[in-house]
Amino acid sequence: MRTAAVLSALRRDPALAISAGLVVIFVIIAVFGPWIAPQDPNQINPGSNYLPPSGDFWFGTDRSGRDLFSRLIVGTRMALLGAFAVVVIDVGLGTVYGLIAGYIGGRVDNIMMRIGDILLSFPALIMGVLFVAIFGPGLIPVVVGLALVYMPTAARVVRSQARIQTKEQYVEAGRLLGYSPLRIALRHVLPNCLSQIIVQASIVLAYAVVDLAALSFLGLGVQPPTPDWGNMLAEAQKSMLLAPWLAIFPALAIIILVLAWNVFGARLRYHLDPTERR
Amino acid sequence: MSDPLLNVEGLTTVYRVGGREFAALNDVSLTCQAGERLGVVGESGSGKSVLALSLLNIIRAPGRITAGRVVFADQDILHLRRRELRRVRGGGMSLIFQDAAASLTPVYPVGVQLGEIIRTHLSVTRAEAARQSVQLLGQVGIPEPERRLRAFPSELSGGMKQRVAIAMALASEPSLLIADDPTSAVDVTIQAQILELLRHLVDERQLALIYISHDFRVVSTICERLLILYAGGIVEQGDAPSVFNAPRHPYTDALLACSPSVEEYRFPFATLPGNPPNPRDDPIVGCQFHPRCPRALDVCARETPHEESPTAGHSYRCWSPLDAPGRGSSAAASAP
Amino acid sequence: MIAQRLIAFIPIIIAVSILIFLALRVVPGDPVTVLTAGSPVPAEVKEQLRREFDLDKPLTVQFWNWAKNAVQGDFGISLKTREPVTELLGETLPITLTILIGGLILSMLISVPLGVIAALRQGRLSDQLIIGATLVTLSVPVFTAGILAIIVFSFWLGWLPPFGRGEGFGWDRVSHLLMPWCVLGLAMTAAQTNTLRAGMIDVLNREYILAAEARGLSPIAVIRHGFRTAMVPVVNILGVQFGYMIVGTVLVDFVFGMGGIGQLLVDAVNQRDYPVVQAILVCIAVAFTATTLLVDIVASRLDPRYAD
Repeated sequence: MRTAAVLSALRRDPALAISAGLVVIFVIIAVFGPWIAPQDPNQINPGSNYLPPSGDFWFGTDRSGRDLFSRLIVGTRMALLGAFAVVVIDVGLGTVYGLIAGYIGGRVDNIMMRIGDILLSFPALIMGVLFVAIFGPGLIPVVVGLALVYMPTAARVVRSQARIQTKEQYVEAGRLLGYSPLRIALRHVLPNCLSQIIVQASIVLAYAVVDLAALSFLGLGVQPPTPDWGNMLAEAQKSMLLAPWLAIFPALAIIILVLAWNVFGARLRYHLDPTERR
Repeated sequence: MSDPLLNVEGLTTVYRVGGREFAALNDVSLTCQAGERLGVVGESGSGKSVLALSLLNIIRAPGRITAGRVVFADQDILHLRRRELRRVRGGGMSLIFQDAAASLTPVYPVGVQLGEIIRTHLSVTRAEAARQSVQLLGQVGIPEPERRLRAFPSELSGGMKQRVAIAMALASEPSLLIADDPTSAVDVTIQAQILELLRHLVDERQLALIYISHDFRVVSTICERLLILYAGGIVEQGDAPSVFNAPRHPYTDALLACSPSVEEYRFPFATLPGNPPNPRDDPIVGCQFHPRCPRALDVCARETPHEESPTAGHSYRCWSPLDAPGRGSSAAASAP
Repeated sequence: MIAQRLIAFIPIIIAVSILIFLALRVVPGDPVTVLTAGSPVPAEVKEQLRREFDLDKPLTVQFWNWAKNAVQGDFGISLKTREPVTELLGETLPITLTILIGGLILSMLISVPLGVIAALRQGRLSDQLIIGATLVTLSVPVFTAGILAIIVFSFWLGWLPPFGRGEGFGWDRVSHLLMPWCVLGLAMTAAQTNTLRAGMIDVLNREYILAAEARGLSPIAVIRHGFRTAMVPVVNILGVQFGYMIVGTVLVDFVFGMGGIGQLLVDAVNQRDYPVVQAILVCIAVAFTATTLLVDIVASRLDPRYAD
């Protein structure tokens, strides 16, 4: 039923179809990047540095003569993998946090949610910076820092379901039958908040792509020479006048991915949720 | 008879509900002379508020006026340019809304809102507008008017809000005041005060008044002429004593039976069995009232009744009217 | 109400300060070791440095000393440059605030008319174009927009200087600030426009708007009657957005080489210059809390019913 609705929406809504196509392409590039890239992204070509886009180097070459196109292709993996990691940690932490708060309830619940509010009000990127200040630069501290800031939203969704379910299922039947909280969580709580969590996660994914690229751009995330859109932009900034293509292509890559994802999400919610329509 | 102040002919306002058109106001004609006090009575859902808004040509989507003419002071309201229409709205013709609390902008002090209306319609200075605002608030019976100018609507009681709303309607010195059930949202003790205030103001300023209400009793105490509205159509109209004492339309009769009379205060209120036509249902053929009518004949379900006017100043649309006074058995009629 | 909020404000600031302080200290990596890494420094010198920075004392004493000085406006000295942190802040904060406030004003100048128009033309082409445009600005990260702007407006068109903060109060300054303002402002318009649009649509359906029309007020006056109420959620969004604004300012500062607090922060993090990182983060936390307070005050000014 749902699948049929999605398919017919795809046919009728060009914005949805195009954005969905782009997202699929990005995912394919992320998965198969190293096999798609015409060159090793770190292969230095002496004498062909700062070449503008051409038949040999589609997007030109950088300071060390590395092929920008190959670096962008391989960098896609970093962008999506990092963002995906943020979402997974975010949802995982949020689920556990929300379940605990929801089951215990009362004072503990209150305090946990208050802490969540404080985390939530923290600008994600600043949290990333703080984590780098503590643990040093790199993808992992940045990912964990971001996930921590996004976590409370997922936690809130899970918690409210957990509160409802503890009242309905757990107290009445579940406890009599000796079901464990874990079983109730898996059977009743999570299935009920799945769709909300998916929507949340889809929004977080876009933010995470941008924040990760921004942190790498600031030199705090993925470190060179590992190709990443953010650190490529940072490097390109140093030679923007000489080789503007080095900045333009990574910038466009980020914009297109985020735009495609946002349009895809917005149109999909529009088709699946009638209340979005006015 | 001179040209009436307000002349409405065949006014029809249609709403789109669930993909289907529904006439909230169906072929309504009425006149109102300068200084005349006209009462419009109907249940909720009979099109009372739509009538008030249609007279000002201020119907919003999904509604629209599809037919008819509204002539006010020799101006064709339905075909005026926007600027001129604005001059009429709140200028010549002003409207008191049913729910005063909802009709006042919550974020501006009362004085600002009053002054704005005065300055929109009368070319006066800011200081003069402020002076008139104080005067108006005093006239509608608000104590310490200077101080109240700075009050926000939320700081006033329900009765005070309705008084402010009346002051706003009067601010532009209109010649016709339309009151859309202004006492339905306030409690009973305030109702009487508001009613008395309106009567006093209308007398003093010799305003024409169209008083719209669900409450027969209220309307008959203030109005000279009555119009009974059912399902967007006028089913009976005439001089107040005549309609009140000798209703001819069964609906009017039923409405009267529902209103608590002075001598016999029924509690809880008796209500009419059934409901007015639902916009979502199939349209009713014939007389709109026939499904609820105790006197319905076969013809009522086939044909819309014509307007009958056996006596001057009293007309009705019914195939099966109640008997005229003298022969009849209607509730309030006196025996010969 | 304001006094109460101000009092509630103090424990939040203290808590956040302690958290930041602990976070930066508990974790491995003594700043002195980090600082002197790579160069052969005698143990006595390290010891002396530790004493100088209070690192030999217990954490509670360290925090107490730091807080005592911070309250008096002294955030210690930078590990890297040996300059007082307060001085560094004094050099960078004004330009950062200029970017922030200018961007905010610009974003409001753009989003207010767009939000109102979109609400008035709800469902029509202009509304859909505005919604589409906000989705695009929402999807273009500040730093990519900044870099593309530099390429286009500085290198290709040659209209505006690409880097630096400019001098004085004339065109030179404005020309340097124009792109940062626009980039930051545009990034913030999307949320504001959408919030104002939704608020306006909601308000325009209220009876008092119909009543204002029935009283013969001009269209502009009628919109004004709804505008204040519709602005309350926008002001609230500004409070939420403040975090993004700070992030945006940090990035814009970095992209355009303005020498503001963003550059200072990133440099300090890279060099593990803890006093500087700590001072900036605490400043951000204070500004953040102050903003939520300010938001409440402005909102209650806009709408007398606004409480809590």
